[in-house]
This record gives sequence, structure tokens and C-alpha cells, in this order.
Amino acid sequence: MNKPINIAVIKSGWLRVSVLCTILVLLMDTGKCFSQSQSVVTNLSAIDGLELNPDNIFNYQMINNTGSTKDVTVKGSVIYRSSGISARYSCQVTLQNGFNQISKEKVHNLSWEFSSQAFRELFFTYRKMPQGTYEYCVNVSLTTPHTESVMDDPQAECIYQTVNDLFLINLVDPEDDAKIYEHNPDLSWIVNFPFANELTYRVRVAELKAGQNKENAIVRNNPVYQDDRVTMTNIIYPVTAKPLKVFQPYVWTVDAFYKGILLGGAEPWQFTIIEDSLENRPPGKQPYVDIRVTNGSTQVIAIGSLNVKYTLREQSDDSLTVKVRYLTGAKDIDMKEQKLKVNYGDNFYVFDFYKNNPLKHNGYYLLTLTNQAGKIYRLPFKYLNPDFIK
Amino acid sequence: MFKPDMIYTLVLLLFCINSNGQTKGGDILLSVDPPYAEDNAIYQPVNYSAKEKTGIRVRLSCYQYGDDDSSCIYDLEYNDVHIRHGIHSINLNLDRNDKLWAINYPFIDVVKKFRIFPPGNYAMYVTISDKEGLKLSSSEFYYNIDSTISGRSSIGRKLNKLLIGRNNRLPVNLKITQGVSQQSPKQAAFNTERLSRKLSRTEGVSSVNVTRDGEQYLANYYKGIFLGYYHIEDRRTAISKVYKEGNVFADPFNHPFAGTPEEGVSLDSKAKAENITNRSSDDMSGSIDVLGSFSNGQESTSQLKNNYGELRGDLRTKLLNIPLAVEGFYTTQDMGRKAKASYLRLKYDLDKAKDDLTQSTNAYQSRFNQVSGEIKNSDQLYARLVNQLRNEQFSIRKKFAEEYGVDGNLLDSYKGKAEGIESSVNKTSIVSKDISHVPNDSDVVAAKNKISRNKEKITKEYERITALQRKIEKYERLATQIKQLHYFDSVNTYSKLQELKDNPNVSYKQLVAASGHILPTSKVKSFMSGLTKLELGMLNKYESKYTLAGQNLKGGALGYDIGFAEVGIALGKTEYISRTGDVDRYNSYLARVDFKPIKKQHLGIIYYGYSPTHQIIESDNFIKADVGVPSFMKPVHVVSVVYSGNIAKQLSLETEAATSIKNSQKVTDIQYAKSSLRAGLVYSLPVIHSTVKAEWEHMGKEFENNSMPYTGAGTDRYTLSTQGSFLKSFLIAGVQFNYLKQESLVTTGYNVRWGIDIRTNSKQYPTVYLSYKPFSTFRRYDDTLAIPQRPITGAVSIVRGSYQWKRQNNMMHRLMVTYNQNSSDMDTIAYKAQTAQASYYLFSRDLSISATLGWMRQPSLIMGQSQATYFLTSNVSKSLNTGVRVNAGVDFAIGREHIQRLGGLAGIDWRLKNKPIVLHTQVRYSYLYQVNIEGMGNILAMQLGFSWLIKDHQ
Repeated sequence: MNKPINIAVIKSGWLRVSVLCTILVLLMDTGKCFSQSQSVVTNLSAIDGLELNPDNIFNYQMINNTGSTKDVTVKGSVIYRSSGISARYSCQVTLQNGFNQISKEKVHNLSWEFSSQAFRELFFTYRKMPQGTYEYCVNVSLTTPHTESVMDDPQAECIYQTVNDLFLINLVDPEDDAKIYEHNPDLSWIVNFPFANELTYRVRVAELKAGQNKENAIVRNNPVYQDDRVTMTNIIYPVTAKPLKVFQPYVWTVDAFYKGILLGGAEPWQFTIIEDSLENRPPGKQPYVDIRVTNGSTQVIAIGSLNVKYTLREQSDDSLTVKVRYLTGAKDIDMKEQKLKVNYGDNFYVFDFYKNNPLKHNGYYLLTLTNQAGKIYRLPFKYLNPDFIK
Repeated sequence: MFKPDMIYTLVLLLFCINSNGQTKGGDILLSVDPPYAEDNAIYQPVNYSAKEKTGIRVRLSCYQYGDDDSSCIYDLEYNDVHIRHGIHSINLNLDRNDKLWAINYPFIDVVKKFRIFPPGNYAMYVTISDKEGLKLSSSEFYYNIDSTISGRSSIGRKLNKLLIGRNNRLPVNLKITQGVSQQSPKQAAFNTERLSRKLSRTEGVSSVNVTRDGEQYLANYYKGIFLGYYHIEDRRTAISKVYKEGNVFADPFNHPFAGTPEEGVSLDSKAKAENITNRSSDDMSGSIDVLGSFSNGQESTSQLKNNYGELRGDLRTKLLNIPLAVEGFYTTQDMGRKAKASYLRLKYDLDKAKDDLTQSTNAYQSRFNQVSGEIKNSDQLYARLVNQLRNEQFSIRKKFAEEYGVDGNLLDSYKGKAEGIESSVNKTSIVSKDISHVPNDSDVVAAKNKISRNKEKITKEYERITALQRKIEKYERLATQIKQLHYFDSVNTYSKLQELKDNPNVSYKQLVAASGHILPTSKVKSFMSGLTKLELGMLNKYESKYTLAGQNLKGGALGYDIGFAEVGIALGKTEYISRTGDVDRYNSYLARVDFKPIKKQHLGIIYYGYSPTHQIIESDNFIKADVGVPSFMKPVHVVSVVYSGNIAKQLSLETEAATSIKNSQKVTDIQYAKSSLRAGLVYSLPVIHSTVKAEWEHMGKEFENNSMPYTGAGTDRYTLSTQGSFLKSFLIAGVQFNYLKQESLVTTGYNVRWGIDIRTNSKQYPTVYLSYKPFSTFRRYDDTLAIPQRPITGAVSIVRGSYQWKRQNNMMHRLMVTYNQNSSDMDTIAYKAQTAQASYYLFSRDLSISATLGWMRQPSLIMGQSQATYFLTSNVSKSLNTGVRVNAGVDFAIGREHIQRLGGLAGIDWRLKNKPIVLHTQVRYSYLYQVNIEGMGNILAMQLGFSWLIKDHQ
């Protein structure tokens, strides 16, 4: 873009036209900040893209087209979108004919007006702008000894900037994605701000709806709890707040305010209040063991229940006598079902020891099925109580 | 080194090649399955193994045969079939033959319409010739298709639907009946007649009622072709059966690829037919939740509206055979809000597609292993049969020798022609019962006379021998055919699936490629097989921490597997919602390439660009000067590289490095301040069962991504943590260390946080959890010269103990005590908040009770003193037999001076019988003493809603 163009070497007509067009476009681009039709032109491009601070806020250029030295009044305004935060200044500058580079040393009779004292402190003490998107506009008017006359074509020059990098809060407890048992959790966090005792915090707790993530839930859902007058770095979820529901995921975050101005916040964390219940028990689906195939050759683990397959091909039906023997204690277990009916084909049986015949956790047992012909099929197994395993 | 199945396959291969000379056409080994229908065409699948590339002619002649006769189904010729080197398969389209000798069109119509090969016995003759027409080889294949209609076949599904009725949605709580329930003859007759009538009207199928083994069946015909028998059952049993068949993949003992190897049909072919039929079925599932909440007020800290409604739904279905998922949420609380919680999104349900295919391939592999065993049995069966038949032949010859006194082999020598046998009889061919007897001329004359008198009988005996010989050859051929089929199943599908078995990152496209022989052709070749992502609507997009990091994107995203990498794009408007609730919209565009992992090393490159929309500066407060926004509206580009992988044994690394580029900055001008980096190491110590994690993160002060939901610019974080389990996982202990440096404002702040936790892990013994998290903040010395130092120190301490025990009456009791303390010191201010809580829970299958007694103390700087509060909450929930669950509870809290809260709630959940709908309602009353508002409030709130679980298997 800034490379010098040697016109002398351009011989092709079409190329010449395109170079001219390019120059025209570049001029138009510059003209966005640099209107030629005015008697005094302001160019804010030097600070465009930079965050304002007391040192650079006056670093713009002015071109005096009036042909003589002029005293002008410059009015600047910094206005935040929708938050009501604003700052305005007024100063006088003496412009030489032609190009003038303005800086904070060149302005005089400067007066500032801030929407709040906190903004003033933030700007001058911490040299920082509040969080959000702001518009910075500069207006110029001619100054005469007693009156102020508006220039022939007054037009504000403006730039925009988003500030989103103030400081962050670190949440401490409950940890992200924590499963907690407390119905009134103690929410705690830490901050880095030097005037921490002058901060107030806004704590928000919102439900996490199905299909949302934490980032969207915290900003899009109405909070079930919001307290913006917290002065300490923790809060116990009050008993007077809306009761939190068990098994409902919640997200929470903290924002910090310095005298009403938002300074920063924490990334949202998630917690869920839980209760243990019988529904949590394993085992889920366990495979069926073909007892006629394994017949004593394999030992299996039974978590709560033992699933057995018995295939009958020799005859149309049969019956089986069931026995379970505790191997360690060398004694038989009283089974609720002692006879099983068998039909032709595959038969599937579930021996629910958890419900019907409590067995010893980690105990070794032997299941025997005896058919009418007296043939015995064995299945040794180790029993695990689902309540005792994770 | 060699797996058993590999050895088995090798043995099969050797066996097939060596034993089956008949099927070699030159060096081509063939295996032909019955034809199948797909997309209104019929294909003849042919598997082959060839030693070289060549072009051949193929003639296919298929006959259906009964005991005495046979009829031609089709007889076709293909003049130019290309054979490649190696093991491959081709599907010959029956409609695109080069020469049609004969075809049975009604039969073909049946295959197309009902996607079945009608029951019966078939013989397929395949003749291979070279391009000049010189015959190279001929082979024959036999199919014995079962006459019972499977419930999973196309016709079976239609019949099930007709029998069960239109409303065949299965209740969620349907209990599967065991065995077949008896139905009255009257009921059976009614069902049969009704079904027969419906079949005739809707499908043009004529049916006849038949009884087999005391059960009622419909014998079905279409254009005179027998379709099979359908078992008539009572409706409930039929529903149970349909439900079982619908969930067939979930049941390892009920395989969809039914049938024995003796049918002569390959497993690949059965699986393909199943997948083609299954493809056209609609399978819809999802849920819809509706909630209405009404109250006369809210707690002072609640921002919820008094009255609002919510609608949430997700629906998974197939559209044009593409699995799609629609998710949506709407709340009336969005009215008047800038940042809305409602969303609607549509996505290609890759997980569903992958799950379906994985289920199918798992079932295939499981059935393959079963078939391997069954083939050994069938081999023995055929060997027995062949021996039996040979014995019969021997008996006929022996009987002939005894009856006519001549050698029995003369029957075969002269093909049963009496004249030939008679003329060849001499003294050497005479067989006598008496071994000592020497044959003489009179024996020869007697034998000739007897043969001459029984010419017809001798011919019939020879015909019996030849008939038996045909059977022997057929059974031998079938035994070989079955092994061949299994061999091709193994090579074409099973071994390919086994290769993917241990790869956790197997892509859908790889799975489709490996399953090519058992999937519909259109699916294997379709664009969709490579699609990894297709999303439209309001998406929660998380691509990486420094690009699209979970913010809402209104637009679309597409991902595609191109073989060596997966590429993806996302376009739309990203919404950044500030902490003040303002919504900033950015035009966003993302492109991503993730290379296929090489030795478990994952590498991806992401480009993310955004530019602010005019909406951001369209504020009423702004002047909105059109000419003054040269850089603000210009795009920002973020380039990120993500990597994860194992860099050593037990050591894994996950990193991301991103840099932001704006305006005229050169792409190569990468600055540390404009970059964000993170790296996480995880080291597992196998001996002592513990892990060590180390993380480092740097977010440059000038790293720019305004659309990120949360920025941490100017920070450096260090995290180190370790956790170990001891005493067989009974004791778990961990230590975490977090160090954060943040350059914000004009100062640099640091904070340090430790975390130490120990817990026991057992449900048999009481468990204890101890956690201590001290933290501190401090500042750099040169900062403190300008700004007074305000360090903060503090700690969070948690102690928790719990014990549960179970009684014989199946009731579980749980007791839990927790104590939480948060203390901090800032300058001279010491601060301590405490909570203690004791809870008791009782659970049984239909009853749960919980009671919590607690105490909390929270210092109040406003009130100038600590506020101690005692609280009690209790809930009881009971399930009734009729699908109704009721619950009730009370809560009570009292401060030092007055009651702070007194409340009660009652609710009912009602699961409708035979309907997947749950209605729920809850009423809550609260009496609140509003501390900050200085007043009392009575809040009465009610919630009404229902949940509908949609599950529709057709």
C-alpha cells in the first residue's frame, strides 16, 4: 500500500488507468478520516485502534485550510454504548496554517467532565478505560476573543474501540463442574485489584438449560440469584434466595465494580447439587453366560445379578434344579426359585441376588443347574454387591 | 503373532483353492450369492479372487427346483466383465445384461417390491468364458431359502404393521411377554381374515390360511409367487415380537442375519439385505418438555419473571435417509431481553449414523464368529449325509449283484442299459453267494436270461444310483460353497472390521469403507459417507480456546473427511454478550484442517476471522459518523495450531498456539504480545497409580479476539497438580498449585492458590473428604510505590463425612455431615464465613426421604455484625403403583431475631399408562423475611408441565 509508484515506468494504458484508480481508492480511504472540504480537518487515524489514555487522547492531526493561524476550540467526547458512562473535554488549540500534530502539551484551557468520579479515577489514576464499546469524537470550532463561531462545515470525527481486557477474577470454590451436597453452597473467589476493599461484586447464579453451554447460560438466562452488593470475596447462598434444585446444573460467576463501573469478571463455573440414590447403582447390562458351553470352565463376576443362558435342543422341554453354594463358607444358599422350566431353544435366566438372595460381597459361589436327566452344569462366580463398588 | 481367526481364514483359503477345481475359470475363484434389490434394480453379487486382470464373459442361469421339476428364474449373459487382480466383488445389474435367454418377470417383481428372495430351493449355474467365447469353467451354487417370513424383512415389517395397526408406537414401559400367549380360535380366525383382507387391498398379496404344528399361518402369494408363511399371533405378542426385532442389535442372542449356513447365502449378503431394508425405515426419537411457571412474586435476589413458559424439544429422525437432529428451546422470559436464551438448531446426526453402523458391524462380527462354529458342524453334517448316500448306492449295487448274480459295478459301466450288461456277462463277471462255487456257462446263461427279463427294473435301479450321485455331488458342492462364502465374508468384511476394532478414532468414512460389502451401494458411494459435520441455526461453537470458544454462532458449519484430513468451515454471526448484557455481533468465518492422527499424534490448523457488524455502533448514544471507522470495522484474523498426542510412554501433551493479526500487520510478523499459548502435560505413574498434570498458559496483552466469551488478555497461568490413589483406591489424595500473573491496569498482580484434598472412597465404610485451599494475592514491589499494597490472604476449608448402610428390606440409609469455612484477611479486616450441614437420606425403590439441618454464619459489613442462621429442609417422595410419584417438603430458616424463611412444597409426577408422557406439577409456598428490603413476603408459586418421550420404531 505504501510502496512508491514510479509513474515513468508505466507504459501500458490499461495499467495506467488501473494505477490511477488505485490511487483514487487510496485517497478515498484516507478521506474517511480526512475530509478535504472543511476549513479545519481532523484526522484521528493516529489513535485509531488504540485504547485511550491521558497521554494519547490528544494525539491526532489537524489541517488548517483557512490560510492563516487560528485559535480553535476542540471538544472531545467519549461515550459508552448503553451504559451511560461518558467523559467530555474542551480545550483550546492554536493551529498554524497547514498541518498540525496535536498532543497533550499543545492544548490549553483544558476542562474535563466525567459522568462519574470513578471514571475520572480510572482514567487518570489507572490510565484505563472501562469495559465496553465506546465512541470517541472530536469537534472543532473557531475561537474568537468573546464569542465562539461555528465553522463553515462542522463535522465530528469519530473512532470506535472495544475494551475487553481489564482484569479477571478467579473463582475458588465450588470448583468448576463440582458435584456438591450443600443446598446453600459457599461461593468464593479472589481478585487482583489493588483497591480490593473498594470493590463491590455482583454474584450471579443461573440455571444451565439443556443444549446450552456455560458461556451462554450465564449471559442469556435470567439469574435465579443475583446480588450486586457483595463486598466480600465470598457469599453463602442465602436461605432467603430462591432454593436451588437438586440435580439441576447451575452456572455462577462474579463481576467486579469499582464505584459502579464494571471492571472485570470471572469465567463461569458450573456446579450441581446431588444426592445419592439407589438409581445410581450399577450393573447396567451384563452378558448372559451360556452355562452348557462354559460348564465350570470359566469363572464370571456377578454384579448384583447373574445372567445365564441355557440352550435346549434334545427335547421339547425340561426342568432345572437350581443350587447356589457359597464356596468359602461351604454352605448352600436358600434360593427363592429352586426349579426352572426350560423350553426348546434358548432360555435366558436372571438370578437377581441383590433383590432376592443377598450374597456376600467379594464372595466366591457356585451355581449348579441339574436337568431332569441328572446332568449337572456348573458356573462358578464371584459376587460383587453393586452398593459397594464405584 | 497370528490370531486364531487369521489362521482359520488361511486354512479356508488353502482349502477352497485346492479343493474346488470346479469353480476355477482360468485362475478365477468365484462365489455367487442370490440377487438383491436396491433402488428399483436387481443386482447379482459376485465375489471373486483372480490372479490377474482380465476380461471375461459370464452367463448366469438360475433355476428354482422342486422334488421333480425345475423352472428357470433367469438366464442371462454379460459379454464384458472386467476382472481385477486380487479379491474383489462386482454387482451385475440384471436389467443391464447383454443377452437375455429367459427371465421370470413376476419373480423379479417380487424381489424388487418386497426385497426378498422368495423361499424355495435354487440352483445357480455360472459359466465363465473368455472374450472369444471359449468356455473356461462352470460352477454351480445352491440356495435353500426358508419359507417363514422374517419380521425384519420388508414384507415382514408390512405384515407386522398391518397386524398391529396404525398406531404402532410402542409404549415405553411395555413389558416383553415371555413365550407365546394363547389366543382363541375365534380370535385367530378374525386376525387372519382381517390381515388377509388388508394385504390384498394394500399390497396386492393373496393369502391362504394354513395350520402348521397347531399354529395359524398365512401363506402369501404375489403374482403366483410364494412369498412365505407369516405367523398369526395375538396383538400383544406381536407387539412384543416387533419390539424385540426392532431392538435386535441390542440383543446379542437375537441376530438380524438369521439363517443357517446351509441356506448357501453369505453373511455379507444377508447383512446387506438387512441394511437395505433397514435403510428405508423411519426411526424417530426425541423428547419434548413444556413448562409453565406462575407466581405472585419472586425472591428479591431472583431475576426470574413471575410468569413464564418454556418449551424445549429435541427430535432425531431420518430425512431422505440422512439422520438429523433438531434441538430447540424457547422461553417467554426472552421477551424484552437483548441476549436471548432461546435457540433452534439442526444438525446432521453423525453420532447416530455412526452408532447405527457400529451396531450393525458389531452384530455382523458376532454372527460371523457364530457362523465359523456352525460351518464346522455343517461340514460334519454334509460328510455324514454323503456317506449315507454312498452306502445307499452300495446297497443298490449289492442287491443287484445278489439278485442277478453278476458284478454290481456293471450297472454303472453300462449306465443301467440291460442290453449292455447282458452282452458283457461272462464267467469272470459272475458273482456267487457260495465262494467255493466256480462259475460255469449255465450261470452265465441264467444271469443273462434274468437280466433280459428285468430290463425296466434294472434301468430304474440305475436311475436310483444316479439320483443318489446327484445328491452326493450337490452336498459336496454345498459344503465347499459354504466355506467359500465364509472365506469371502472374512476377506471382504470381517478382517477389515477387525483392523478398525482397536482404533478409538476410527472415522465414519473408514467404517463405511470397511463395511462396503454389507451396506447399500448408494451409501458406500454417497457424499454423506464423508460428511462429519453439518449444523445450521444457533450453534454453541467450540473449536478451540482462542478462536470460537463456545460463543453462540448464528449460521452454519460443515465438516468433511477428505481421507488424510478432516476439513471444516463455519460461517455466521458470532454473538458476544458483555457482562452488562449488551450483544455485539461479529461476522465470523472459520476454516479448520485436522490431519488424521499418525501414531496417536493429532495436529490441526484453525483460521478464524471476524469483523464487527454495524449493529455494534448503532447505539442511540453514538453519533454514528459513517466516515470515522477506518480500523474498528476491519477484520481481525486469528491463526491457531492445535496439537495433542503422546510424546512418550505415559506422557501426553496438549497444546494450542494462536496469534491475532489485524489491519496491515504482516502475517509473518508474529509477536509474543499478540499471541496466546497454552500447553498441558499429563504424566501417569503406573506403579503408584497417580497422575501429574502441568499446565502453562500465556495470553498476550495485545492478543485480540473480541468475540471470545471471556478474555484473559495479559495473563500468565501456571498450574501443577497431582493425584494418586492408594490402598486399592480406598484413599485418594491430590495437590494442586495455581499461579497467576496478570498485567492489568497499570500494575501487575499475582495470585497463588493451593488446593490439598484427601478423600476415602468406599461405599462399605464411612468416607471422609478433607479439602484445604489457601490463596493469596500480592503485587510487584514497584507497583506498591504508586499504589498502596492491598494483599489478600485466605483459605477455603471443607470437611465432609458420610456413611451409608443398607438393611435387608432393601432400604439404604445415608448420613452426611459437611463443614465449610471461608476466611480471608485484607489489611486489618479479618473475615470468616462458615456453614455446617448434617443430612440424612433414606432410599428404597419407591420411597425417598431427605432431611437437612444446617447452620451458617456470614459476616455482614452492612449490618456490622455476623449473621447466624439455622435452617432445616426436608423432602419426602413416594412412588405409587399407578405411575404416580408424589413429593412434599418443608423448609425453615431462622436468624438471631426472626424467622427468615418458612416454606413448603408439594408436587406430583404422573406417568401415563401406556403413553410415554409424564405430567408434573409442583406448588411452593414461601414466607420470607426480606432482610435487605425490610419487609415480609408471601410467595406462592406453581409449576405445571409435561415431558413427552418420543420413540417410534416402525
